Amino acid sequence: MSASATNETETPDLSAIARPPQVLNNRGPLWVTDAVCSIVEGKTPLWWYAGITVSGAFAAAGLACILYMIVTGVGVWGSNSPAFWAWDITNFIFWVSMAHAGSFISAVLFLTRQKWSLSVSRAAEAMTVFAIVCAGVYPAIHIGRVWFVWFLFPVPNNYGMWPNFSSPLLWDVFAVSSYLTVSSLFWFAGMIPDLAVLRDRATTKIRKFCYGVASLGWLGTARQWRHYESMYVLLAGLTAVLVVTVTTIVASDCATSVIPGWHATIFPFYFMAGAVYSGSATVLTLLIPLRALYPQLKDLITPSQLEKVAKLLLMMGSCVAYVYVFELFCAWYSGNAFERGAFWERFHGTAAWYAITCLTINLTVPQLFWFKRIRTCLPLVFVLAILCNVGMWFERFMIVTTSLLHDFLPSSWGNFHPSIVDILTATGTVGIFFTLFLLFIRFVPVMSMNELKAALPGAQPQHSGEEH
Amino acid sequence: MSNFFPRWANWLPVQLLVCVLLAGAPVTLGIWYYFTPKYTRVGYQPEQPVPFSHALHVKQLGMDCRYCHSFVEVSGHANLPSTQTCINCHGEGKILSQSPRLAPVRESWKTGQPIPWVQIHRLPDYAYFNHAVHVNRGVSCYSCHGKVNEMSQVREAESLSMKWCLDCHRSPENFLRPTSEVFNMDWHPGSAEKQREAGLKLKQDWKVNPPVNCGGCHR
Amino acid sequence: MKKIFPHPQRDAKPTLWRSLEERADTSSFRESLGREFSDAAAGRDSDGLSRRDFVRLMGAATALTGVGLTGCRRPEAHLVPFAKAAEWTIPGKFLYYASAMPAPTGAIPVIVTTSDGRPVKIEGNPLHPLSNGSTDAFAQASVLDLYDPHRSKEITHDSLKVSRGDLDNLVAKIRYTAGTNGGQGLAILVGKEQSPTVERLHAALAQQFPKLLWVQDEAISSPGSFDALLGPGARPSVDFTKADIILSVGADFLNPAESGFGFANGFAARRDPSGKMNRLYVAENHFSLTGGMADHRLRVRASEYGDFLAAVAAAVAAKTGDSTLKTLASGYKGTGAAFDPAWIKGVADDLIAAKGRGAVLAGSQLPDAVQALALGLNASLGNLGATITARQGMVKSAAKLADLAAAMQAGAVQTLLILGGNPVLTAPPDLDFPNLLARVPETLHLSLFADETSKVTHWQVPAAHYLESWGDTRSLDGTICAVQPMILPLWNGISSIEILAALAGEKVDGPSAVRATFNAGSKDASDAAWHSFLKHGFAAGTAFATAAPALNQAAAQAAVQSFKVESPGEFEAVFLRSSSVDDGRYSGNSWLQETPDFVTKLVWDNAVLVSPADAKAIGIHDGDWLRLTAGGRSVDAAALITPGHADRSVSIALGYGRKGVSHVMEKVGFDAYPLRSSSTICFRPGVKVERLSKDAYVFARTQEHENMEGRNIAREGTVEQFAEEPKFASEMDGELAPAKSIYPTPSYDKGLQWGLSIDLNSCIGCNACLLACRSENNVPVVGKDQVRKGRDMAWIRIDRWFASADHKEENLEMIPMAVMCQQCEIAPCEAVCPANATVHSEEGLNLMAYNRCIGTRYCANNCPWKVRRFNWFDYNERPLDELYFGPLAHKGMADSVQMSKNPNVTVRMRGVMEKCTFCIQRIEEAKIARSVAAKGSDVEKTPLPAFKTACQQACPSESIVFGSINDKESAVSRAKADPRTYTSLVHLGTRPRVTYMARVRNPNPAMPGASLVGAANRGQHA
Repeated sequence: MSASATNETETPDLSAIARPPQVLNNRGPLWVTDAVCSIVEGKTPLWWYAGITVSGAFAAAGLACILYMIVTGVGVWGSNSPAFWAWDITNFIFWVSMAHAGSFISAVLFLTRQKWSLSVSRAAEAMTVFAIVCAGVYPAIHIGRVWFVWFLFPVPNNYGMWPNFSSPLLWDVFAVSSYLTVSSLFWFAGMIPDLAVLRDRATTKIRKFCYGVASLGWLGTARQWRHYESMYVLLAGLTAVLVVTVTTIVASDCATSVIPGWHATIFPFYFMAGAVYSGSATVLTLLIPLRALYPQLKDLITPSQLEKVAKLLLMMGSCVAYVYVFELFCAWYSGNAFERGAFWERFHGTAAWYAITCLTINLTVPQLFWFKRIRTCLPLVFVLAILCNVGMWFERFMIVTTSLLHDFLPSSWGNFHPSIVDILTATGTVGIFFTLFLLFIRFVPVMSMNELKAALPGAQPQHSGEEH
Repeated sequence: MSNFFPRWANWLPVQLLVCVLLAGAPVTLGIWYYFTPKYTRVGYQPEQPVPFSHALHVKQLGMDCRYCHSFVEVSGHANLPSTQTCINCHGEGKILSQSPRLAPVRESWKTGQPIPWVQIHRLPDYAYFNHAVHVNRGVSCYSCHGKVNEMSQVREAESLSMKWCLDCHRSPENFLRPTSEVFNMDWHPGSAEKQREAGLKLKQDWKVNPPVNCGGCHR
Repeated sequence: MKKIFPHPQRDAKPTLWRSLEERADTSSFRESLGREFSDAAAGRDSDGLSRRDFVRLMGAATALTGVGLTGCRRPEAHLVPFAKAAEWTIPGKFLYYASAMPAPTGAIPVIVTTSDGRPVKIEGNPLHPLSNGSTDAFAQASVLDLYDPHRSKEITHDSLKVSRGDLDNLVAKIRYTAGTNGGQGLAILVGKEQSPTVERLHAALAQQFPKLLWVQDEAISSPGSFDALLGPGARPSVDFTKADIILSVGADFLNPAESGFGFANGFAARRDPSGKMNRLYVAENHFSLTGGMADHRLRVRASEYGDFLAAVAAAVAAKTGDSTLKTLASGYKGTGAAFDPAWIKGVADDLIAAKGRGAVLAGSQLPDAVQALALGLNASLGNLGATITARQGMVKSAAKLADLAAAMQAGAVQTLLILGGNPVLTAPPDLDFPNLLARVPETLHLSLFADETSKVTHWQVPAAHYLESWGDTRSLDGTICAVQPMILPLWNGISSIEILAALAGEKVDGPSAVRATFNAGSKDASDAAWHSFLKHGFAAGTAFATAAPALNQAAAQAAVQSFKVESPGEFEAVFLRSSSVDDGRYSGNSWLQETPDFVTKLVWDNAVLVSPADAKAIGIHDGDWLRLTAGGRSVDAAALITPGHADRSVSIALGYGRKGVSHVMEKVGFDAYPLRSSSTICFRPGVKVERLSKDAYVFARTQEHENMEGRNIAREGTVEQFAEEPKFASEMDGELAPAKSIYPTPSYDKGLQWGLSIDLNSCIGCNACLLACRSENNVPVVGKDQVRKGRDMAWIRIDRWFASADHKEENLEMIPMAVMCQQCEIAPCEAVCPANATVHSEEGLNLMAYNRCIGTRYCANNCPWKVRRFNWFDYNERPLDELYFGPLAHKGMADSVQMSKNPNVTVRMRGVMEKCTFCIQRIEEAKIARSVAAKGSDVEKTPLPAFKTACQQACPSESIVFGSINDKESAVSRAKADPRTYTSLVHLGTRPRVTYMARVRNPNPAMPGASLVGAANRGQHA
């Protein structure tokens, strides 16, 4: 790679097939460091305070609702029979899927040496961790008797009882918690060298101490680098595996059931595709404003990188579209009155508008990215990305609740209306997410300086991690 | 490191470790306390309104459990004796009819107000234990209540935890005894092996098959 | 368990039940009453006197999560034995007493289960000649009435609390004045429950005070009587086991509240297609239980019932050349409505073909003229004496409410004792009863609740519930049943017998008055006879004499001739007896309020039922407001579109829209009584119906979707279909054959294996099972708002399907289908529960351990039948109007309501899932009894005591059969071996233990639309 990099400088006639540089305007390593660190070191902009106040307020409201729910009963939500699960699990799946994309982008693309993801990966990982935090809220609180949640953990007790290891919900508990652990480790590990840089540049004692502790005494010696990189690759590998397994397990919450609309073998793929789709949409939603707010990042987060993310979104969006069509085909082809009924009601029943919104967005919006002009027009991409996320939320609801509303016996069909508590809890998680993200951009380097520098033209080969 | 950290920072790892331990200890203790039979009430021995001594009545006078707990063989509850039962022997002009220690009994007999005995053996409301089926099928009072005949003041002998119940329900042979010996608190099979043998035989002959699913006790 | 019927303690002290509970707490009951009275609303009064509820589990839970202080962990609790042991009572064991629930249409013989002196459950008395051990919904729910904390508790005079002594003085005074003036100005109003003792006391009073005005009436009762037509006291009674062809015109004979208890089983016995199956024609204006069972059903306006019968009579006469019938039919001057001649001909021919084996019934509330037509038909067809006999009942010389009103109008009433009913609410408005009542100088009302009438009368006296008082009553066939107190009156209730006896100068002491009647009435007046009367709950051989009825043709002609029909006008309004609150007497009973209507599945409300065609014509949708106007009075009520309803006719149930009696009745439905008049008790022609522009009313219904959507859920066929392919029902599985598991699955073939079968052919959908289950399993009530949200808790629900092969109103069929937990052998719910809270027993039961449940609700999602119920709130511990207040809501259940709970079933707390477990408490009790009996011997050689599930026990048509399917001789095995048996959703391969027996209809090929009968699943194979 670096070979080709040197080639670029020497033989311009190859420039036609050359890959676009990761950092524009031939910026040097020092400039990169300054650019990234300045965000953390410079004075806090006003919009940041504004932002954190708003998101903090939403988060607080959400937490208040959760407390009220716990002391009063799950009934404060709109959930009912047959929709025993509604916004709670919808949001859980929404967030946890989003989380998967972050790791996918950083870990999988890192392992496949996709240099273009370098500037994006840190933010993506952060998104992962925060999204899991939001996702994790729901399984914990949605149950009827939170104070007995320890029944879910295999602890020795004087009942002489174990949890039911055949239940997908139990797999969830293990999957999500291990995913949170590993992805946060992966995220933190990636930051160590950069935190060291911040430590070295720190002016105040406090900063020096905090970043010092955080960077675990990083010196950047060759030995540390070797250990570091092998550890990083291992974590990346582990994360990449988890991305797939955890999605599959979350998908099996539905797939292992008997409910038409849930009971389908395609679900793991369905969820994976949806995950990366919503995740890349979120990355775009986060990075485009970031780039706009911090002009110095314009050379680091390059349009071509964002365009690649857009392409990824297009691809995954198409996968999702394929699944929609395939599901409907299977329902028809099965000849099973109940399968057919379920999908008919999905678009004609009491909650049809959820499904219709979902399909309208997810079948059209990503397909717009076939056009380069749209792909490269960042403000437009930003708007469309947000739309995609909205579409995905509706998809999650369509899968979880619309299916429940119209199952086997028409006599027990029902409808669902969200209560104010539902809504505030949902917005609350959004608030939590953005609060955490704002803190993230303020206090840690938003992108991996060391990797970026390694990707600079003329960077030392052994730092690009190619010898692994 | 010294060029990045002040000297005292060397102790940081140790301090962290200590903090973790300090924080972790209560958690561990809590779990150890609640999630093990220690949480149960073994040894609970409250003062009773009337200092009734099982040791005296059963051990020395040789009374049968069923004289007072008369319905234990027919009902789920092993009833406490009514004041009437006490009065049968301790009534006017009978044994200790003037004893101050029996004042509450005479009081109750006069007023008709029951004697408020303090409950010792207590199962949660959602656990449906049935005395009749146990004592009729060769489970002795002793197995759950211990050597009551030697207690001058009753105390809880066993943990009565669900796991403890299941120990017997899963392998009753370790506790079964001939129906004739159910109320004989002093009966002893001799050794664990003997008990096992005898138990297994009874289990076969009587087709003893205690429920080990939720429905057996929770309804 | 073996039933024992000892008679209860006569000299029972309150302690008998007060301190019986050998459980943890003993709050004095009296105190609690004080509190209850102070704050009646929503039962917000309990110091947590807890029986088998979760309160202490919650305690444990908080201790678990919180810091474990020994104090919290080991609160000192007390055990309180009797001071003096009570006879018969074994703490923790049930006692069973025979008694009877009085009802205007004939008493329901019952066996009352008492736990530690508290009546907790009502079952039917199988020994009684009329009863097969079943009950109706009202009997099941009557337990709650007994414990209702909102019952009236104090004797009041002009709304001042007075003592029992004052009441006695009043009665003495009345007696004295009556003695002096021969009862001039004294009137007594009683209900139509037949009680020999009341009759005896009436006779005594009439003899002592000749001028006494004795009034006997009910809110919903037949305007005429059969005295003229069949001779004094004679009442026609149909033997459905003998009837092959039945024509019912507005007669809902399968509804016990309407036509008396004890018809369903006779009818059901003739619905077995492998035997000789009867055929039922129904002409009615709205779907009734009976209409749902019909083989051919015609929608006829209530005001045209007479025309319909006349038409049939004419057709029959034409064919048989019976001139008397011909003149009878032609004599009827009706509305001149026309009916499908093919229909009339078909019915007539069928009836003629079945001479002496048929029966023609007219609704009990229809006027004499219509009854005369029906009887005329039966006489001409030779059914009288064959299928229809006459019961020679008491000759009623009682006046009616109208007579009383007239007397009051004339100022001839100085003292009025209202010992039954609630006339201020129910009296036809044209009588102007409330004002007349206000003018009477001395008025007394004896009632369970301080209701509308009590507010007007000077004296309000709390009535004793039938479970609290001595009495006797007659069942439909006249057999005298004993009414015994199970418990001392909770709130100083007084029975009407006590008052009447006092008035007649009798000294009442416990059962003395009843005993006197018994001695007078029976040959053997010995104590032994008396005790066996109490023990069995009835006196054998006291039934009314039956004879072949002789129709007085002249009287019939006269009745028909004299009958003048009002023109039905644009609309008629039909007043229904509510399947939940009867005529309003049960509006205070939350169990019944939350019991769905047979047909509309409406709870906590009544509605104006409108046919789809009319709805289109008026331009309304469900919940839109209508104003019904008649006789200058109007009622605003929300409309509900009801398939199968007659056009140009609306129906509305009575007994709703009451105010200011108990909070349970508040904001519940619309009062339809103002629309009635003394001449139009059961329906009113010429009603103006106009649409109001108010925003729509939101009903709470337990089933919104009534179309099977082409899925073979409830299956039915015809007799021919059954003849050529008995297994037609299981054939319908089509290619959706049971899914096979690729994993080894448990076989469940050892020992006891519980299974249940429901016969859709005899199930009439009467809600008895639903109430029985609620009472047996402590199923909580959740209130209108929660049901609206789709959160009702009933463990059994009765899905009511409407099906019509050609999607036309004319050929609409109704199929009720009871659905409870199907106890799948391979249960989807069990696999997904992370906490192992729902697991399988080796006896094939799908168990639910409430105390292990953490409420993920995954099981309910994964249940194809959606029979699992979730406690969204603390329904048992919080007032229903404060569910959303969280910890700020009042906590605890009224002590008296706690007494109504079944101590053998856990009361579930919020956040746990619950569902049917085949009454596992009864199963375990039986198994324990067997082990106890086995003692030191092989338990498997010991027979298992016979027992039934609550729903099975209550089912009047014996459609539910339960038992071990491993025993090939058991009733359930035989039922499951029936060719009609099928498994619902069999293709899922969950192997349910509940199976259904398909419904078979018996259409008459000659009838129009015969090909569309029994075709609910026609052409709907997957």
